[in-house]
Amino acid sequence: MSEKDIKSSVQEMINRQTKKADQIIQADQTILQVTSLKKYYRQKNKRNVLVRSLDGVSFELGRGECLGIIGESGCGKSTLGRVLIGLEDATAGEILLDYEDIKEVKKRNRKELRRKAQMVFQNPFDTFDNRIRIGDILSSALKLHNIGSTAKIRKQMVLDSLKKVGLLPEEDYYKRYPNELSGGQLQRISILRSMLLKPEFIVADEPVSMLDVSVRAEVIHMLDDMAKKENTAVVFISHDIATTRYIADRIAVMYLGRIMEIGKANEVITNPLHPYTKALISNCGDADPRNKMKPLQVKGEPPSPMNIPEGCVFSDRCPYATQRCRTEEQTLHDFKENGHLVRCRFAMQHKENG
Amino acid sequence: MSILEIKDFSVSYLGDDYVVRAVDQVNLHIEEGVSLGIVGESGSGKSTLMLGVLRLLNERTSKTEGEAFFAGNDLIAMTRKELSKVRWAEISVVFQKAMNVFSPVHTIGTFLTDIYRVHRPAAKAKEIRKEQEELLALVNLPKQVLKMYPHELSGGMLQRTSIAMSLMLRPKILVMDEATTALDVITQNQILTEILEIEDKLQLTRILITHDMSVVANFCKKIAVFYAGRLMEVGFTEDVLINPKHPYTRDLIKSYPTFAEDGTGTVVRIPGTMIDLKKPYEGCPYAERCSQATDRCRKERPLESFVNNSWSYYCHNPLEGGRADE
Ligand SMILES: Nc1ncnc2c1ncn2[C@@H]1O[C@H](COP(=O)(O)OP(=O)(O)OP(=O)(O)O)[C@@H](O)[C@H]1O
Ligand SMILES: Nc1ncnc2c1ncn2[C@@H]1O[C@H](COP(=O)(O)OP(=O)(O)OP(=O)(O)O)[C@@H](O)[C@H]1O
Ligand code: SF4
Ligand SMILES: [Mg+2]
Ligand SMILES: [Mg+2]
Repeated sequence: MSEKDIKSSVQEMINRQTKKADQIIQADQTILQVTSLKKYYRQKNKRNVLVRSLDGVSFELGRGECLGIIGESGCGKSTLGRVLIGLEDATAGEILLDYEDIKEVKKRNRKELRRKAQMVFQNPFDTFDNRIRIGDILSSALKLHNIGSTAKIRKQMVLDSLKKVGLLPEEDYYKRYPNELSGGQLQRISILRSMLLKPEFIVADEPVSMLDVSVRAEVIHMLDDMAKKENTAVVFISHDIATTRYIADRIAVMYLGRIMEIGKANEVITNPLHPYTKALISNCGDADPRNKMKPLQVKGEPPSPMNIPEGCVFSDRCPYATQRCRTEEQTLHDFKENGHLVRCRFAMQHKENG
Repeated sequence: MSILEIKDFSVSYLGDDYVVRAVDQVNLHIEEGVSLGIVGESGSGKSTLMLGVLRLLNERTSKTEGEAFFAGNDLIAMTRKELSKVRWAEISVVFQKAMNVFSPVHTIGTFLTDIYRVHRPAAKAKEIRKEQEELLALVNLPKQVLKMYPHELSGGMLQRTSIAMSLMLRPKILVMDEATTALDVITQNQILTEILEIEDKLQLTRILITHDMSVVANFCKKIAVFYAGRLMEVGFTEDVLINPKHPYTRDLIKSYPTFAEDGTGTVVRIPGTMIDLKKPYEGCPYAERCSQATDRCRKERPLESFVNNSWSYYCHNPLEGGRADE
């Protein structure tokens, strides 16, 4: 570990301790503790090039809490999702699920891990086998995990849930094959399947990006309702910032494999501190053509995890960057002492934040 | 001038014991250089319309009726051979399922070169390479991507690669079916701005299928609103989004999530569900959910009514005050 690494993990530990203190009364309310998570890949063609997809991610997640993750495409959101539910192993760092290292849970029983942690993927078309009827896909997930004692009971459970998410008439959807559904309809099935097992937490990776807004609302309400009722924690990855703000309790903004800003959803969206977050939010458009977007420009090439800039990882594109930004690595700071952390030492000096 | 003229166009999916009328007598004229955004609820037939027009549907399990003229020639009446010259080279599509198009065992560069060679066998390797790098730059990707395999790229990077690929043969029409949905807003805006800028130069007409009304508001000249396989309203974006004539257009606009003042953000849904496309019905498909519906709406299919020659709608009780109309 380099000195910088040590410094940053100490800082992260302090941040965590502060937060922990706040939450001490709800101590066993934590379902997930993630510390200095790293995931490096080697490129197939150039084995010597290291792809640093996750480069030190730390956060905690409460039971039933929803953490929204937004950020540049390619910044490591899906990688984080896959590592969190144990689909891939981290290169370094630790994930505690219910105070137990997920590596241990996985070693003991993969099925147990799958039941506790589920994922909804970005692309619903890849998720299902087109030769198996929707009803059978859902029933067999129940059967595999010994939920519902008879086939008849399982069928009824599946029909009820189809109805609940508005796939009507439900008997009809039960009989259909995946390729007979539209992208939106398929994604609802995918969410439904992950929820059927009543997991402790789910990672939903772009679950609504293929749904139109009216159905999106329905699915978001459904996810929200189910999660609240079952006290399921959700890591909600999305590019739709308005929707993320709606469903998430807290939001983390990622850039080049790390969290640049994290805090209460409203705080982060209405009062963004990090220059990257500000640019991101200013790029959100309105459906009214009279309110043309006035996006803050971020200059330069998009970043690459194969070539991470020195100092602040955003310094080569940041409109506020100074010489110090290009040399000093940044850590997360809680300037306002309210759990709204930002990875930019100069955030409070940028005029709007002062 | 119309570059694509879709006339009385219908598509049905044929199941063992059902028929889904996914596109129902659509008439749509797409003018050269006038970008069009197609919006509508999930399952409203947006993808099917373009798949049908380009004859990419399985002919055994679907039935296409009507005509679709590209530069004066009916795509539906063409032979397969004629069609293969038009598809990709003249009209190219970036699909919702774009992530599946790449071959897992080839690098992106090899894959792109192979496709290029099919249409332009005489091209030199060096030229192709230069072209590829330029196109990748256009979608904000480094040239290293050419040496990578699909699984080494993020969802958004793959999506951007397929946009670059779709421009490779310099098509006249570019159909983007949810092609930028998987991207963060900064990247999305940058790519759409870039495409917008080259459109004139390349004489490219863009058709954008999307759920994101703000993308249409900011990047498309015209908008077409679909519901249950039918066209509901079409016109210039400023007209339709500010003063919608069709109640469904208004409701769809209202369900678009915004950053509300109170900090909660609104996610309003339209009550009820879309009608079952397998069951024949009379009248307007939106009647069951529509606040304006009258008896006539349940009986008589609304015909096209014109506000002016670029703006039309299909509704018996059009709105007067537009957005504000309750
Ligand atoms: N192969 C198929 N067999 C039967 N029905 C189908 C088939 N493919 C699509 N459908 C149905 O046709 C209708 C239109 O589907 P389509 O995919 O065109 O909708 P869409 O507007 O593109 O939706 P989305 O926004 O979700 O992509 C839907 O009701 C869908 O269930
Ligand atoms: N198996 C792999 N081998 C090499 N590089 C990989 C691999 N998987 C992911 N990467 C790289 O890791 C980075 C992060 O990818 P990831 O899919 O996590 O991004 P993301 O934030 O989910 O992006 P998007 O919003 O586009 O889905 C990308 O640069 C990608 O190229
Ligand atoms: S540290 Fe400097 S470069 Fe990085 S975000 Fe802050 S001001 Fe910009
Ligand atoms: Mg992703
Ligand atoms: Mg579609």
